[in-house]
Amino acid sequence: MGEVLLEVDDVTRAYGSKRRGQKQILRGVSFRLQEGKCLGLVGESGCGKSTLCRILAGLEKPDSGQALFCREPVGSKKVRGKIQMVFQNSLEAVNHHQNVLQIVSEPLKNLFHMNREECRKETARLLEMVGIAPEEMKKYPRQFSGGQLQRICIARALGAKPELLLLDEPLSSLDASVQAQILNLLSDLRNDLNLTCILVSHDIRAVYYLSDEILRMSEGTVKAIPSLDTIIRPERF
Amino acid sequence: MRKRGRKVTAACCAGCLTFLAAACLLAPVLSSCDPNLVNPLKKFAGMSREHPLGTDYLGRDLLARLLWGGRNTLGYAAAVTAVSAVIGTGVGMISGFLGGAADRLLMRGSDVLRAFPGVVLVLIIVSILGAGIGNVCIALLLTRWIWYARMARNLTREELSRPSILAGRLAGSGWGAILIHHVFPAILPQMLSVLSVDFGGALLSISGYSFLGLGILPPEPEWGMMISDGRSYMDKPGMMFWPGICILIVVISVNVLGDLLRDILEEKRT
Repeated sequence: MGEVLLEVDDVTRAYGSKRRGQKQILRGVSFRLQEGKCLGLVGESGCGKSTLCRILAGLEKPDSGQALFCREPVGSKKVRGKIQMVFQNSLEAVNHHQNVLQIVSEPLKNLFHMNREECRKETARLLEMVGIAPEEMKKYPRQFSGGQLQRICIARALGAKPELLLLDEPLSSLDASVQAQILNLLSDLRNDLNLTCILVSHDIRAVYYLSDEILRMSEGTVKAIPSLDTIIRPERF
Repeated sequence: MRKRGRKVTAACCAGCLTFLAAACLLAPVLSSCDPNLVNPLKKFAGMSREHPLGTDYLGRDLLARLLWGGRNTLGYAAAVTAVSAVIGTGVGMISGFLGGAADRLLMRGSDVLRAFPGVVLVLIIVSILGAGIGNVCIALLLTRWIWYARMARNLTREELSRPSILAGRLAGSGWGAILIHHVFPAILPQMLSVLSVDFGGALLSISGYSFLGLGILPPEPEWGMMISDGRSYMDKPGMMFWPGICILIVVISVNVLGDLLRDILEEKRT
């Protein structure tokens, strides 16, 4: 049994001001995630899945409760770069004024202080890993399809050498065949790199395919879905 | 077809602006006359080889005054626009990024300045500091940076919540890098559009205050002041026509180019 990588304890989050009225998004969310496992998070729109993801990535602070990564609060300097996120809309998730090399090498420069040549080599390796030809690193986002852009976003996330990958509906803006390609890529990467991940998705088939355990979110709380061992997973999606 | 029309319009506007700016920059080469040299014997002289646009009521060469005046008008308008754009965009981006109390303080401060009509504020400053182009520029700076600040602040707030910025934060980029490499390029098209409109406005203001005798002081040439000089001699329309047409061409060209530039950059982005 792997070590507990992520501990989420009684996390709450509300939006709006007390004077004008608040909307409670998360109401005491708690769960544990073991190293090397993939947790699927399902639930209807507006139930707080993306908010939870942003809190786990350290991009937002919870109103109360805590999320600990290797016993350190997420968002702290010690956790910097170890949690990465792949966003729903790949088109919105990249800077359109930067080319692929600049996009993918951003974590390499910031977190590992690589020089230009090292960045170029590592970017080529990462792009190859996600199925993009390294020769395309000088191209700009508008020259790629949605699926290719999502691969580039995955490459950028992997560049930070994350221990936890948050996948916030990475398939929802893609068509069916590209969804399958990305899902297979994620599955391969998970096996090759022993990645721990949280997959947020509306697509229950995708969640079953990739996840070891599933949590269902409803009205800001989570409920575990019983054992997945009985489910027969396909070899490829 | 529409794209072709846009290209032709852009080329015409860019051509007109380049031609005028180049002519003003090359004033010492294009006109050998001193723009301030008074020659009562040649007053109201018609077009000739020596004076291609004729002379004014003091016998000064109109072409020389138009070209040297253009240097003043365009130069001061560009300087006021550039400085207010840099200050306003910087303040707006920082305010948008900081949020909270600092943002409210900066924006309420700008509201207070905005509450004064620009013309009144300029007249108050000029009445305190005295007439002169330097004081007019200071007064214009005080009133113009606010537009950039408000625009930059709102655009920055909008940009900061985008996934690309969040991804940049997760990739370890500091706030400085986020603002410079992610936010600034994203808000640039809209800022350029504001800048182009503002350049036209600044040019009109500088010419307007010089027309009123508050800006550039005689005998230095300036387009607004040249129009003011020509007002008393309506039977000699050339004195007002040339500077007037130059102002019109520049203002229309920068507005059209600004709109086109914004469209192109937006298209490129999407």
